Amino acid sequence: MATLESKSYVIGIFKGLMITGGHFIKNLLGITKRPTIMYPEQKRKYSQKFMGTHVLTKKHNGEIACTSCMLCATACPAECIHIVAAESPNPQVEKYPAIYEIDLLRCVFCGYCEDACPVDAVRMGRDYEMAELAERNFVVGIDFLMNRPSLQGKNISVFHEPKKITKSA
Amino acid sequence: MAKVKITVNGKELEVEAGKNLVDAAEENGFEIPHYCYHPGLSIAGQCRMCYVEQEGNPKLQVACNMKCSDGLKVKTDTPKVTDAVKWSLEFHLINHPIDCPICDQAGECGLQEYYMKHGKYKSEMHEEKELKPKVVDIGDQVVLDKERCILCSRCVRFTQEISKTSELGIFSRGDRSVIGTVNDSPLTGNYQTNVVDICPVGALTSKDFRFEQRVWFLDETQSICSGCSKGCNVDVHHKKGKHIYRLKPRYNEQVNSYWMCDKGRVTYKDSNFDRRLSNAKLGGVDLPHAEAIAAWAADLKVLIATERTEEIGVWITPHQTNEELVSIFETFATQLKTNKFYSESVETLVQKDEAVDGFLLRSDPYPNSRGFLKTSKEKKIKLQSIEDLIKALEKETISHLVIICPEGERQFPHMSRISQMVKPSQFVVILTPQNAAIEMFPSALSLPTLSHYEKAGTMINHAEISQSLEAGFQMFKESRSIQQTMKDLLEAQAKRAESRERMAN
Repeated sequence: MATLESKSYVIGIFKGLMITGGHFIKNLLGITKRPTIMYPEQKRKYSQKFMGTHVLTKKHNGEIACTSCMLCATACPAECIHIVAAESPNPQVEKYPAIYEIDLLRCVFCGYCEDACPVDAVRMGRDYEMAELAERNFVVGIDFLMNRPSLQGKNISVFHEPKKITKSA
Repeated sequence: MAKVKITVNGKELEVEAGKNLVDAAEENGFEIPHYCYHPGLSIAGQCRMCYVEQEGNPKLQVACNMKCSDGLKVKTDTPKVTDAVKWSLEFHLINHPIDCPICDQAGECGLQEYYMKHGKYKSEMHEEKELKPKVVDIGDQVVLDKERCILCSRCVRFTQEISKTSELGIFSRGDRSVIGTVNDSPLTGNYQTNVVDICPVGALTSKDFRFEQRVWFLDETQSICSGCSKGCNVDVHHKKGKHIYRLKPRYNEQVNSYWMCDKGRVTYKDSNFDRRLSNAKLGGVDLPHAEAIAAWAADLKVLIATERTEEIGVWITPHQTNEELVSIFETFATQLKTNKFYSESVETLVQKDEAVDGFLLRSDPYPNSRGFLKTSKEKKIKLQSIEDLIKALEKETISHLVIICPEGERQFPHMSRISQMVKPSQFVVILTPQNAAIEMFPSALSLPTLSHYEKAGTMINHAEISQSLEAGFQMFKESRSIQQTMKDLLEAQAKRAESRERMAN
């Protein structure tokens, strides 16, 4: 049974617009707390546990800490890590990665690589802005993972060298 | 062999008299851990891992030095035994660097396996580890890491007993003992890489496989080495069929026992992706397999229509399996009715075949010479020599030459001779897994076939033992087995004949 109210839809529209308009004014005046932010200018603060683009740590002499054991590639459920091991030019180091590539499009950012790494050479970084134009740019190598501008001066890419076990007294 | 009854962990077993207890237990599902014991070598009793408790003996005994005799009663799982094994392992790990992440042996390492099964989980050593030289170059095949060595002396016994080169030895004493060669002279001979296979830890690693791949990524396929007429049994280690990384010998008492030569170990490189023909080609241009077969059938059609099928010549080598040879003979001799089969003089190769270095490697470079002679005799094929082929090409009595190409080095001398004699009017079809031969025949039609380590079939070795190859993977989508190629060719041929009949009606 159609009532007068449902027949003349103007009242219904007006009621709906009242709700929309009410929110508009509230948000405009800042009466309620807005969940949106003015993104590129304003940035959200993420948790320290956030898992973004990977970081390869480096030793104090600037060398890569990775020993190329491929445990990260073994643990990786997305099979996005590609490593080619080689004999290191440094005689103190036996094995190092000649190529270490992560396909960020394949990566699911689960952090298993970080967990699997026995020498703390790969960590999940805090970077989340990774838009690119070409697909190939998402396959990132050692240079990007270790030396990208966003890591400069940050603690995250510093490898903590293990203390040498000395004879106890 | 007489059978005797022994008792292991209360279970009565019937085994051959005089059999080693470690082997006898393993066959019946009782694992006795061991490092220094290897069934192909003499007994050293050095690692003290294979302790068992023998009834009536107050002290623990090493199982590797016990022969099965009637009434032998041992236990492998008593607290006394597990404790002794645990402590033996702790002694092995005192100076071991535990650098598994950079060690090629990780994943197939005896120390890792037994540490997880029998190991102590916390080292009780206060002493610093003894440091020793790490990347020591000993010879052109092997790298030695003296730190990782547990001094089981398997490699020393191998060079003394099997390769008889006596190059390796244990030097110095106590915790400074190391494996090494006299005056750091390199290892020699054709059997160096076997010491890598028998090394239970990562002390001896192969230069060819060094840092190439972690072993847990590798799949295994059983095959036969393609290097010579010995036909050593091998496991092909490859990653998802896309890349072959190494060959390992597989135990066969009648053929190669546990060993394999270094020459045979690199034969996988001929089957690997970088040397392979990935697509069918006509005059250097890629084309789909079906079209290549159609082009071949079209040329055959002309020969059949003008009744000149005896102008088809076929060059074959004993690198093919018996099944492949049968399909080739049936297609060309029975269906297409040609009698011009050429090959190098296989009978001379077979007659002159001998062990080159007194151990495994033989002078006949083909793995299936006996099978080749047997199959051609069965199919009543008369084989002609390379000289006959050259003559026939010169006189142009052959206008259609089919070359079934072998792999590796052995294709070159004959192929280059044939390629110089081929005239532009002669149609050449090459069936080959490799791209090397294609360059010699720039205008030929080439079809990719399966490589040796992808094939299934049988081969007969120098001692008339028929052995089978297992097809485990296919590297390139476009490559076909020779049987399949022959079948496709005959089908294409039949189709053409059918359409011709229809047109005539």
